[in-house]
Amino acid sequence: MSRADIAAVITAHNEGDLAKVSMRSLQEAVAQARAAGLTVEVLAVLDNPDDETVAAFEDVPAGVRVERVSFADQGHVRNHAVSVTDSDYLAFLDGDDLWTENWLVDAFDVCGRDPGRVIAHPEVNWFFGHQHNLYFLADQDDPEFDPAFARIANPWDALCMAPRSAHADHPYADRAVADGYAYEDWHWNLETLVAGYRHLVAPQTIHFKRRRKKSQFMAARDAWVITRPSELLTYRWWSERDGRDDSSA
Amino acid sequence: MGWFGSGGLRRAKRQRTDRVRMVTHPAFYLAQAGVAGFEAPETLDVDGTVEHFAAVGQAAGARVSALFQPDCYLSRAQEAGLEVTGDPFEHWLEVGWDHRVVPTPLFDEQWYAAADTGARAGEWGFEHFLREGCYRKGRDAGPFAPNYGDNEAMRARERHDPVLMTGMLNHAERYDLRRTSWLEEGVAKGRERLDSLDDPRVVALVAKAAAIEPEIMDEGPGRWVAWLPHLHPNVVTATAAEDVRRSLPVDRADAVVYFPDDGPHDDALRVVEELRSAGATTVVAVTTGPRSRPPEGIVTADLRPRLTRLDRRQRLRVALDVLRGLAPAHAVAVDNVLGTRVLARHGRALRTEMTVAGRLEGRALDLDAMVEVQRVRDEQ
Repeated sequence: MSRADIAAVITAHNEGDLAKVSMRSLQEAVAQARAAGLTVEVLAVLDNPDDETVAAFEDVPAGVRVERVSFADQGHVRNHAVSVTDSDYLAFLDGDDLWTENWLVDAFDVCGRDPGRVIAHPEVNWFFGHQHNLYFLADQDDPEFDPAFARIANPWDALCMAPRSAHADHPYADRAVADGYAYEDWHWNLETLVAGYRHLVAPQTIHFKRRRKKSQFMAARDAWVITRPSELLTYRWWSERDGRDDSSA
Repeated sequence: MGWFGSGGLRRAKRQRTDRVRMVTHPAFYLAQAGVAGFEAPETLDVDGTVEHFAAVGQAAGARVSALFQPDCYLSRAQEAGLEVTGDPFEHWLEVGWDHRVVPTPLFDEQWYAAADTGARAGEWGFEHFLREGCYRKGRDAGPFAPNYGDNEAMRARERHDPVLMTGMLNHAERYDLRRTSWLEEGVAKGRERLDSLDDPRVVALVAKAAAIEPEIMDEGPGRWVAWLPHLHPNVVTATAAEDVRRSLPVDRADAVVYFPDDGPHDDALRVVEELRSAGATTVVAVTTGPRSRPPEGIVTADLRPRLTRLDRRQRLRVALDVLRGLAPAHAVAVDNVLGTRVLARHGRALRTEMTVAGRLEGRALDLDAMVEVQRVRDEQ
């Protein structure tokens, strides 16, 4: 079997029936992608799932592969998904979120601007549930975007479309809150920035992100944990970057 | 005699005076000095600013208020059917105000009216915002307001120093503040972004998603909006951090010492000597307290001018950024509260990257205990 264009991966843990909603959203985006001529592999990875979540994936359509793992670590779950799929690009969806149905097609188009080097993000993260807000994500090519922002906060989350190499060469680090480290997705963004990937926005695409009372992000923020060391956090890397900019000016 | 009569004229004059004073923001006005071609003292209080503006700044086209933007006023006055002649600011004070024309993109009247702001029934929301609301941190001024800043300056209302000043003065060197600012540009462009969600294709896509999960259409108390690169609470933090980095002659240190917030440097200088004796060639001093002094003869990251408008969490991030940026083998805080906080709060992780130590009032800090306290708090 030849390699698929995209692996659409949904990850779940304790979402219960909400995962059915997300699965339906994913299926609609997959249908749009296939209608556009793309080949799509669909994988669901359930990490230590509770019974309701297992039940939510019992009657998935034919062709959807369901895997159960026991990592208790979202980064490891994504790394595992990378290892068991065979596609040029991967797109992740959390088990209680939704995509607009154009996400896979439009993100794939954006990735095609520089094949293998572009990571596509939705234009908007639309939060619902416990929070109601809109977050328009940054496009790295926007001349007003200051990449130094990435030293202070995470500009993007992990629910992007990325070439396989971005995941294979830069697997997610361990989540280690007890050691003071978390924000694996932030760290992954730093590492891919250093490696030269371009984080671009796919216009008119939206991720609907369900905010429960306390998200993993909020728990990490309150715990005063930090992202793991990265070259991008060091002034030395920025000096060299300044030098590169000066010499190219 | 004009149409007011002599009593009416006095009332009108008093009203104008009251209004000018209410909208005056000294820090914003003073930020335009030099660029706008006029000179001003380094600091002015509210009344001094009003006087200086009348005598000097107004003729130079300066804005005395961060919440009056001439172009916005001209556009909105026209929408309200008002013909503006002469100085737009004077026209607003005399005419536009009474027609309740909001002369800034930073304030959303409907949003403010829907929030519990304490405005009296029938009171013009913008006047309430000018008098009180703009000095309180919060989200009431509009959907973008959570990004205006979260730090109430000391005696903000007395000094007429609105929360949104942090964003107004971000990258001030790039803008002609007489006309616009980082924040006003950001909100205008953010509004365009928001309006782009009304595109028929996007509306249809959202409707399809809502057919799967109707809850996404629930707006709750109001849907606030952030967007990079302009409107995000940490944009100003990143600007401050980058200013610090660019101010330094080194990009790597063997040791970083947070110097005392106040008082003599003797203990900190002894620490520097100890570190040098132990082989640290490049030692960088970090100063953070408003009363601290940069030490002589040591490369110094002077964070003081960059921290003044940041809240506690933002200050911590800048102080952490300089530490991880310089990637030292050793970090020490000597009578420095912010530095101590960085090492205690993030000590678990930092101790895998460097040695950390602290002294406060001559005594060694038990950072192990402080880290443990933080760990227990986290677990709770």
